[in-house]
Amino acid sequence: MMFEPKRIHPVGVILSFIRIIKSYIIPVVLFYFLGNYDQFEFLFIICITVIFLLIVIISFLDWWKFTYWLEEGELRIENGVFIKKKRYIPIERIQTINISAGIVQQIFRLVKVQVETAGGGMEAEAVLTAIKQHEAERIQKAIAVYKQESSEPSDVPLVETSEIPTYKIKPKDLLVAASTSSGIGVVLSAIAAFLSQFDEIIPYEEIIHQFEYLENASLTIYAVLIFIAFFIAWVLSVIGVLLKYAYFTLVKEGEELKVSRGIFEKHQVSIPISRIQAIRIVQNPLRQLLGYVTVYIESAGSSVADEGSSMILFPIVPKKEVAPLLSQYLPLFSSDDELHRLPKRSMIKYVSRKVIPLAILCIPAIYFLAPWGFLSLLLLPIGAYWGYSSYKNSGWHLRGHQLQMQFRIFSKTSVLVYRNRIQSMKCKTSYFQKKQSLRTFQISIKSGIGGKQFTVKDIELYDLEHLVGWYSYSRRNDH
Amino acid sequence: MRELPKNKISLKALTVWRQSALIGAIIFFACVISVGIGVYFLELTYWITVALAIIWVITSFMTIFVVPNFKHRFWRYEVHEHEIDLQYGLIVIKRVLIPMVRVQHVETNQGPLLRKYKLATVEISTAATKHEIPALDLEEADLLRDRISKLARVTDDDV
Repeated sequence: MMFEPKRIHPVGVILSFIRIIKSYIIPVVLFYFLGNYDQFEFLFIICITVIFLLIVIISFLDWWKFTYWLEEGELRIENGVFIKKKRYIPIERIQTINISAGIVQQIFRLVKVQVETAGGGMEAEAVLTAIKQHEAERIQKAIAVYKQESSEPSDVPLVETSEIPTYKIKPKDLLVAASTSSGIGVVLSAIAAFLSQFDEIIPYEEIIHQFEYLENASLTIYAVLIFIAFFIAWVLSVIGVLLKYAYFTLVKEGEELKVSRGIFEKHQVSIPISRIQAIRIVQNPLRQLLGYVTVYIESAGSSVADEGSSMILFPIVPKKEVAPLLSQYLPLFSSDDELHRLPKRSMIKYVSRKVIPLAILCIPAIYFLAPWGFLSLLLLPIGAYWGYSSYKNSGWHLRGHQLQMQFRIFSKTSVLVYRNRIQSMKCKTSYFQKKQSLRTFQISIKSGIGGKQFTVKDIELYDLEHLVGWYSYSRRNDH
Repeated sequence: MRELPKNKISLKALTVWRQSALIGAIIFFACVISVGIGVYFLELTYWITVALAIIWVITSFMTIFVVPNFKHRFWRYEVHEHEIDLQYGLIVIKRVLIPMVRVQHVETNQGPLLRKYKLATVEISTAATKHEIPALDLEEADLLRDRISKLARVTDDDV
């Protein structure tokens, strides 16, 4: 094994340099623009050079003093130039090993290894910014072997079975995923934020001047321009998703799931199955139309998160393949089509919950924008349909210890969770619900370093009591 | 039908809530006055001040005299051997179940007002959520905290 302290690859100097520059770039830029250095230009250049050299030296020392090794069942890391830090992480505590490769690492054929424990704050416990691929594999193997040894000796030895379940994203599915992702808004705002940085450099006013004739142009041209802007944003978001999820591979190895993906930024994450708190199956309206779903994992205490604190298990799969895939990779969880729907009288509540606020919005619109304002009435049927479809897609289902909850906010979401993973259960009663003996039902699970709530509104009181009875820990002893 | 949790919180909670609402009302009143002065000097319409004053009267009346009564009436809790059962709310009534095996830690807190009346808040944390029993007599709160912490030490052998 690796008992002698080791340094990471010298590329670490560059990475450390980039990191320091990155964290100081904003103050430096501010400093530069706020001050007036007309007379001090020479002095300024000297200052910059000195600071630059200092940073180079610091990054070199950073790299020089950073050592890691495995000893006595611990991953030991020592670093620090002025203040010596020693961090020893017991291998049993290591939960995930996240291997990724950014552009710099890829140039030198290196990888970045992040080691996390359950206690995890926002950052990984230990980060090895640049080490050789086989070195990373050695660490992984050493940790796996150690864990194997420390668990019960009666355990079946780690047999290299020839058929390890592997899921690879199909090119067709990847295309569907990219073109139906709702990343458009993100891209639009990113562009806006990006462009606003160049106010000074790009002569916007002149550009706008060029387009002055537009003011006389018809509405159609504006519409076309807006459409083109959206189209470009859409294309960019497609490219973004393609880069992110290209070569998406899921491998089940023993009690761990390993996901790797990406072209420029290569990511590899492994998650112990025992840490999975819930499964979330999501369909945005577009994907629902095409019959595709995205499957997420909610896991505890991880900072290696994709979106929020969830990790994507299957970026996109046809709906009918979900059940077989789940049974192959996570046989504990099973998705059912059977669902206890909500009672008819809930429908009115669902529809009115969407329609009434919209109607209130319509009143000033009609009042102030006289003829055109009436167009806002079109929102009402849309709201009504939205409410109806939320009603239609809501429900719950019990299967042994597994609870399935389904609801729609914007996307249709199905949550699969085990009784012992539900942290607490809440039921809410409003005045109107009381009259109609309906209830709002909510569960909390642990997700990431915080929690997540899932809610189904307006379920039958009788059903709620059934669910509470299922969850309650005292009841079963009474009978 | 599952019966309601047995225990109610301390009656003194009413006083504490009223007093803290009173403090809030005083701060709000100071804001109303300063806005009023601003409106006067900026020569804006005095309806702004009037509207604010009306809002102040209504919210103060509600938070001092009405809300605490309802809050107290609905607040109930019960600690069973295997779970904690809470009920609270004002307009929307909430009922919460926390299994003992999910409880991570319990603590009692006392603010200055609670201390004055020898009350304490019991806070129950799970891995994902936090729950509060807002005002119990100090000894009761301490006993409850110790009891929950003892009961929470059971291991999870479920599933």
